Amino acid sequence: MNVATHTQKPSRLESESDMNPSNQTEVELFQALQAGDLSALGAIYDRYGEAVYRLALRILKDTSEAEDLTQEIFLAFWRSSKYDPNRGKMIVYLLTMTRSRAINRLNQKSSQQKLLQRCQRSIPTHSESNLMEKVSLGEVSQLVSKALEEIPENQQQVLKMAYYEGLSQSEITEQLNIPLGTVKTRTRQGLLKLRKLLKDLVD
Amino acid sequence: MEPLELPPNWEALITGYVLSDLTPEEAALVKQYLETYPELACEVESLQATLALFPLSLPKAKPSEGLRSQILEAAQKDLSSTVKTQQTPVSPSPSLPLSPFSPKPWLKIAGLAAVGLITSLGFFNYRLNQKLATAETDLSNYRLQTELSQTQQELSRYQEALSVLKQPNNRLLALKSITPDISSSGSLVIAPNSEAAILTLKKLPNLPEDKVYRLWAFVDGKKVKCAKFNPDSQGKVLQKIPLQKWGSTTEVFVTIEPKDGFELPVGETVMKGSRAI
Repeated sequence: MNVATHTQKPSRLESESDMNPSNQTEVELFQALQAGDLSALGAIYDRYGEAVYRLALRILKDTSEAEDLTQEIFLAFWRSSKYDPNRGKMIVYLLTMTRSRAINRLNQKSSQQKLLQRCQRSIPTHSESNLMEKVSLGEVSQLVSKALEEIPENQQQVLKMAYYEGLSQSEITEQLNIPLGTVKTRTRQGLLKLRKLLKDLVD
Repeated sequence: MEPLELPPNWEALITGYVLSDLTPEEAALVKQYLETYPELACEVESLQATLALFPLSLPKAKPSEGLRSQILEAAQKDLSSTVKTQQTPVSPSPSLPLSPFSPKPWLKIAGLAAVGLITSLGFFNYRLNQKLATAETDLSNYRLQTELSQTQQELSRYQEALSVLKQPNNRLLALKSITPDISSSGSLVIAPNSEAAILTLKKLPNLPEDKVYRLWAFVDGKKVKCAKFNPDSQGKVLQKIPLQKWGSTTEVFVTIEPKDGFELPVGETVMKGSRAI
């Protein structure tokens, strides 16, 4: 994965490396992006393009559609981003937007308006996750994968169905033939455990 | 009124809220909890962030090599339609050393944007010169004479703007809309050497007759009136503004004000601008 480590070094503001977008912090990159700097968009794509694509591919299950959505996400981010660097990490914003738009596409495709669009109320507003600034996206991916492995298989299963397929709890109930209460308990416990395991990343 | 007490299962409830698996009644209750206990918002945000990072566990998959350049090309097209940033040999001056006291990367961006403006205005200049030449071929025609005079005026306005933009030590403030229903953007180039600033905006909606747009600057924490203006029929603004006490500003904003105006803004703020970086 072509992901640059974006270690925060406030002291290098005056140095020449500041001219290299791949070394800039998220805030610097976003400011450059807002000023119409194309190289900033390139650097943001280099960092997060693959993560956005992976999620788009997982939900849409079609490479060309996933690429199309990836392009849509980055162009939307370029054109008029409502992202506020003080309110959360860029990757959280991009993935939330990707998931939301991918599920929208699924909805349009299947014409089943019943599909829930979860977690779209607002972009997570947490910030100051120091670890997120210190490690690369590749490392974050490893941490998340490792955390997920520690969650019971049945909890993973319902979380994935809800997140990637956009299925409602009752639809999961029908597909797995288990009581609604069990589905709810499993997804909630799964998410709570994941959060506990990723505490250093998200708090 | 009794404060709403948190139930023992509050954690399950807010997790359900994040997962959208609550009944409408439960969801309404959680909203009340969030209002009563603002600190709960952190819990919600943390769970939302966890969920957003969840897909990072997906197996690796790379998009095709060409996608990056495809995205950048599309973004470049956007940029070209706004302000032409490609460095064409219209002016030999784009080196723009700009402000001598802060050699920071934004200067490069400001320089590039100024070059874009110069290029763009240079193009208008060229077109107007062409138009002028055409108009001059038949001075006997009254209509053409009127057009000639208008074109000359317009030309001198662009030429004036061009000469300001070519000055060294210019500073650029990028302006962006802050209301979702307006997609206007533009820039304010402050040219201390010319004691003027050039305001260029696009996609600015026309206002009723009794209203105008006003540009304000923050100077030492105070709001200072800079200029009033209205866009043309295509929503564009090109205005030279004399620099007064606000030349050192790093933050400006645009409001909609009554035509007669006041010394301080009273209307809605529609755009904000700050030093490019």
